[in-house]
Amino acid sequence: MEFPALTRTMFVRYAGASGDFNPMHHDDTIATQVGNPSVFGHGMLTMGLAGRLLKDWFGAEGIRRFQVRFSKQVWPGDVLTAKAVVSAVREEGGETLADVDLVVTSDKGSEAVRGAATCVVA
Amino acid sequence: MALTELKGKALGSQRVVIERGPVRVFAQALLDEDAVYDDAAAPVPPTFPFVMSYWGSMGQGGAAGLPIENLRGKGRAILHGEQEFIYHGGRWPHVGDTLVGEGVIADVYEKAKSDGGKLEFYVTDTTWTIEGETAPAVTTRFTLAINCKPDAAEAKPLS
Repeated sequence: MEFPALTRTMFVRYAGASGDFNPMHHDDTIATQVGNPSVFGHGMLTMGLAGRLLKDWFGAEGIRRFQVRFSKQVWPGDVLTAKAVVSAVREEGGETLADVDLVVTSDKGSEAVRGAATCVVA
Repeated sequence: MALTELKGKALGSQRVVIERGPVRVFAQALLDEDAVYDDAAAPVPPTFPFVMSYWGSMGQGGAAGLPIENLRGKGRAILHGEQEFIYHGGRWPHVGDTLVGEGVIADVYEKAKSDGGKLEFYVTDTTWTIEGETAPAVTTRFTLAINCKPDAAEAKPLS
């Protein structure tokens, strides 16, 4: 799943929707003072985008576990792509569960998040 | 040393009412126009439980409860290292539910880096139970990572 290029407006919108007003995500003056080229995206925005892929595959209530490690920051202009691969399907407690590996990469070549999920197969 | 004495520290509880508008606005911020999030009893988006604590009694989000001033210092870069959601298989939280979250510092550990520095990790679990139910619905696991240069200052001891 490919997402539209990141914009500052998207970061501001996520800040407002989440309540996370760390200025590194919306104030270029403060972000550049500490050595960043510009503001950068919330890690949880990237994780949320990856969650959309899981929701599309397994439904709005289909996730049992969803874990990521934040690797590299994401920047305005980056085009993110979320990819997921089902690594195993297993029976547990009378349910069919899928283990999923996922990664979100930027078109600039860096890996934003890498993670794993367990989801219920409908 | 990482402040390992924090391990097991209870962070108290918070109570959050899931409201319709914020759930829809959160989904829209993730570019998700799925009609399921317009419903008066919409399910929360999968990562929504992370942001609930920004509205609850702690009011500070993921790092709330950690003694952040003790963790700052020269050569110490504080990062959101990892995030995990564990949905326990009971009812999924929906708009209209009230959730009570209990926080605990679940783990504190460190790892050496090959450059002579180290990484410190502080793991906070918040376990959310829908009011009126007994089993928890979801646990959010927030991992703060501190990337320490070889000459970094140590964490300031707790007073």
